[in-house]
Amino acid sequence: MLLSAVRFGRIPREIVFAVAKGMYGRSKRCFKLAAVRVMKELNHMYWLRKKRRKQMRILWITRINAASREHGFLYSRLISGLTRANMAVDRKSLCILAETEPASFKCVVDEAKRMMKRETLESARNLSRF
Amino acid sequence: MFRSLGRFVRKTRRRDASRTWQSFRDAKVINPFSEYQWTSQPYPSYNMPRVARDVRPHRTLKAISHCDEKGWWHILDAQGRDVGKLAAFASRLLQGKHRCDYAPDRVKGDSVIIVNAIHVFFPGHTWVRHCLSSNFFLTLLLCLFQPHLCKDTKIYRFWRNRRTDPRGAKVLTATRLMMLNPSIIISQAVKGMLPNNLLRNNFLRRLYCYPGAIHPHWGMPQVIVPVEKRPEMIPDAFTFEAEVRQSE
Repeated sequence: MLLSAVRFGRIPREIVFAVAKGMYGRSKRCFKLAAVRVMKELNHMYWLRKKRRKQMRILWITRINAASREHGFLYSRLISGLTRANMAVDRKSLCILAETEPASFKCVVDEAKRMMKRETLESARNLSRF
Repeated sequence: MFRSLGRFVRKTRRRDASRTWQSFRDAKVINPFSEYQWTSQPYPSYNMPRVARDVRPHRTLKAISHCDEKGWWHILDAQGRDVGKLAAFASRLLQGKHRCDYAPDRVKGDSVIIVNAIHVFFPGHTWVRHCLSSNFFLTLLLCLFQPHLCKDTKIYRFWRNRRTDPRGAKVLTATRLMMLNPSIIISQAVKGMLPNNLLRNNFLRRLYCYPGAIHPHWGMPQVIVPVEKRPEMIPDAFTFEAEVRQSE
């Protein structure tokens, strides 16, 4: 967003002062200072809306990591185990499961563990996958 | 002026080729399977902190978790542990990253008490042992042949009035800091590992570092516990099997 949008009247003064309501000092009262701060804030609001979706995913991943480590399993291994088991559970639902239904989360972790289990001695001699 | 160095030549011949020494000071043999090849101590062995002679025997339960009405308290023993690894673990506990309800904008972590901070371990060249000798030539020889022994590799900088004070930073080596206050080493390590935001001070408030073996918190269990002698097993005077055998 350009500052000229305010200067040339495309954004009226009432909206500028409405956005500048909680600011510090003269930036909420004087138009010249408020214009600069308001454009910055609107710019931030635009790309933070996009960044919010990334931040939520990061939070889910951290919580799932903590919950799976309680069961002795890492987040990376859990996700690769779920993809191998063809379970398309997304991180948001996994996080909600881990918080509210720990029993079902343990079942999910067990499924992933089964897929990530290392080959036993009998299948080690099987060269068909070579 | 130049005195002959013949006084410092080895008198007895070393016959065992497998006993290779790490330094001239102590006859430590190299163990190729040890975790660290080169370790250093902050002070010579006679100056390192020692346990009192008249104390009862104790043993460590290396880490304890205690649930209180105020939350979880983790009491860790730092003896023999690496500073960095201990600090990483402690910072994870303080932030609450081991919990399902982790929130980056709240202080939801647990409190951590670190005990025995004076016996913590810094791998590698970080500390240097003082090669203080009254003889100038001995130190000269040392500086010529093993220069890495004469450097304190780890430096701490403490700023007072970062820009305005012309004196600059207060620079301390790890050895000196260990002498002044040993728990600062661990708390600075944890401080560097916590996220650099306004919550860092609140996290650090929950961290307690003690150089000694006991902590003064009431109601919290101690990690270093006196060894209890088990009562001797006295054989029973009467056993059921002996009675059965007699009756048969």
